[in-house]
This record gives sequence, C-alpha cells and structure tokens, in this order.
Amino acid sequence: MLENLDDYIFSRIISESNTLTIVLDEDLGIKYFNLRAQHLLDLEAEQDLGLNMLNLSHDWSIDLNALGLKEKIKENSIYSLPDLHVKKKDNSEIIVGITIRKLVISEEKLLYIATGQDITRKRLEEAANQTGESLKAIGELASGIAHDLNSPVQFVDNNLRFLKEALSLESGIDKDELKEAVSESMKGIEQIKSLTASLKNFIHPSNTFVEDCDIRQIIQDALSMSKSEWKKSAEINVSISEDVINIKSYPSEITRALINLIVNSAQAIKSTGTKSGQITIKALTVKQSILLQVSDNGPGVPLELRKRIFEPFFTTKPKGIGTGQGLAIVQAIIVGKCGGTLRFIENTPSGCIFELMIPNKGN
Amino acid sequence: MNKILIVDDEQNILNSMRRLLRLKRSEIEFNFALGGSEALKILESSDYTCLVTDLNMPGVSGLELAASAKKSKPEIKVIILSGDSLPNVPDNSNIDAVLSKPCDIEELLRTIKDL
Repeated sequence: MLENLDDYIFSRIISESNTLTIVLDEDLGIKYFNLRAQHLLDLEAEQDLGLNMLNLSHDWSIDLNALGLKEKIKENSIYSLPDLHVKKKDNSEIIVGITIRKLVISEEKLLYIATGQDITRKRLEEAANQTGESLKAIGELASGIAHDLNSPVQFVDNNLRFLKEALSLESGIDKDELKEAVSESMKGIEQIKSLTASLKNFIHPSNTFVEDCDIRQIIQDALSMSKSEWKKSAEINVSISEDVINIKSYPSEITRALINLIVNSAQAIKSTGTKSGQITIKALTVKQSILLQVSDNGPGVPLELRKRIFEPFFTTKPKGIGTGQGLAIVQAIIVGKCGGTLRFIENTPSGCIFELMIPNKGN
Repeated sequence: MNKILIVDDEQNILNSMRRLLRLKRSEIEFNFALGGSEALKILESSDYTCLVTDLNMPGVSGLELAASAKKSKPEIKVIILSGDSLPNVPDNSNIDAVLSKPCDIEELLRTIKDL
C-alpha cells in the first residue's frame, strides 16, 4: 500500500513539475511526457504517445534525424540538445533547452529521460546584454577617435579665425606668420584625413569575402585609431619584417582585433602607473601565414586567471574600464573568422605577449 | 595683470593659440609650454595667475601638473582644456573649469575672465 502511495506521489510530482520531462524507450519511442512537455512542445496524449521522437512533425528548428540524435544519446550518458526553437500552434515561438540522460534499467533494457526548460527569456536577455556590450565597446572606440579629431580641429579652427581677422587688418601682419598658419592648418587637415581614412578601412564591410590584407596598413590604422589610449602611457615600437607578404583575409576584422590588443596593453600599463610603458608590435611571415605579436611590459596576467582571459565579459580591470569583451572578440575574429590561432605568452621580466597566426585564405 | 600659462603636448595647438591671442591684443599676458614637464619648470621660475592645460599628455599629465601648481601656489586658477568629449576630472582635483576641444577662443577668454 505504502509503495503504491509513493508511486502515486512521485508520478504527481513529475506530472506537475515545472521541468519538461519525456521518457523515451531505446528506439526513442515516446513512453511518457508530463504536463510541462505537453505545454512547451504542443504534445497531445492521444496523438503523440507511442510515436517516435524522431518523427514528431512539429515545427522545430532542429531536425533530430539530421542531428544524429539516436547515435549521440547512445554514445553519451548525458547529451544536451542545441537550443530548440519551437513554433507553437498559436504562432508564438519559444526556445527550449533539453538534456537527455541514459537510464540503464537492465542489461536488455534502457530508457532515456529528456528534461528541459523554457529558456526563451534567458536567451533574449543574453542577446540584449551582448548588444549592449558591443555598443559600449564601439562607444569607447568612437570616443577615442573623437579625441584625436578634436585636437587638429582645434588648431585648424584657431588658425582660420586668425587668418580671417589678420586678412581684414590693413597692416602689421607678418606674411610668414600667415603662411605658417596655412601650412599648419593643412597638416591638421592631413591628420583628420588620415584618421577618417583609417575609419573607412575599418568600417568597410568584408563579411563575406576575403580581401587583400596589407599588414603595414592594418598596423597603422589600428595605431591611429587607438592613439588616445596609448599616447599617454606607452611608447610604441613597430617591427615589420621585410619579407611580410600581403595575405587574403579579413582586414577590417584584423584591425579591430589589433586595436583591442593595443588598448588592453595600454590599459594594463596604465594600471601600474608607470611612465615608461612599452608596446611592441611585430609582424613576420611564417609558412605563408602572418604572425603578429603584440607585447607589453604591463603587469601581465596572474597564473590562476590565464585560463579565463578569453571568456566573454571576463575582466580584471576596474569597473568602468573596458567591457570584458576585448579578448573574446579577438578570439572570435582570429580563430573563428580568419581560421588562425591566438595564444598568450608570458613576457619577461613582466607583461603579456599575444601572438596571432593569421593564415592566407587566398590559397 | 593677469599672466596665463597655456600647456599642450601638441606644438600646432600652441602655435595657433599664440597667433590668435596676439592678434586679440588682450590685456592678458600669455605664455606657452610644450608638455607638463616644461610647464613645471616655467611655473617654478615665474608667477602665474592661471594655468590652462591639456589633460592627456605623456610624462606629466594635466592633473599632475594642476596638483603641483596648486600645491606651490594655492590661489592659481586651473582650467582643463581637453580633447576628450567628456573629460574625466575627479571632483577632488581642485580644478576651476573644464573645457573641451575644439573650444572657441572667445569662450576660453570668457572663462578666464570669469574666474
């Protein structure tokens, strides 16, 4: 009697649990599902019980057959499905996270228990967060560039005002002074032009196709766009090997990765308060790939944190400095997009070296 | 008479200010220093009523320069003229006014007069 009562209690708990629960037989035939599963996946007792999970005709983002679900759950005692987008009968769409566990009953018999949750809200929040963080990173870059534009604008503006007033005077103005005001203003305009040209290279979309990458240009663009970050705290040394070739890859993205590494180095150096910061950028060719190194003499990364530095949002910087996205973006670009490698090397006596290997995609 | 030291790490900024201010034939005497270290030396050897300085400079920064100037002469007025759109000046840094580049020279003169 007591045993039956226990069974009853457990079956009620599972039936009304807030966790989607489906029990599958060895061949993925549906033996049981609870109310939550019914609700989230639009299952119906009369229609779907006994059906094979692989043959469910609902509007799902994943084809379980194509995914090789049967093999996957046979091989792993626990398997988590990728996010499953479910279009429901009322046309709403939800995202469900499902994990399937193998349950060995006896030598001949095994079952699978699928449990899951509605993760729609969680995923939406993550996406919003990520957009916010990328906007913040772009905002930081933009304010640095604005800073570098403000200075030439200031002296060109001063000079033009000077020229306007000087030209309206009848006498007493040294002609050389006028010439200098004009030639310095032209230098200012050149500074502005070179910065906007770097920006243009940077924002030029190259999402689909690989393009010629002029590493010298990329380094120059990255340095000019990150100048406000390093100017105060570090000296820059650039060493580009003569044999550096132009490769085919994604120049705007590589520029962005390089900016992130330079900014990281500058901020690391700044945190130590030193006035003798050094950032070194090296480029050379290794077996048809470009090897780029960004090194600094900042404080380096403590041993226990090295594993985590490529995680998104991981940062050791004080609040308000950086978004924690920097190295995750570098990794996404260099490894994910360019098919290269990225590694961290300890610098001596202190500091970091980040080494990027960027393959030529033109082959 | 007012005596003012303008400090920036960019020579072009100083040149353009010098030119324009000379033309204004202001009552004020202006001098110019290229960077924080040079400014510190000039401040040691001569008496100024006001310091107009850039914020981000290699070596001695604008805030360090301001702190040092106020320490040796508490009544000196300090104006930050920064390239940052939103200059990061801590509340306790004792700065009298903060301006952003590009700044109209008339506005700078007005700010100096109002201090």
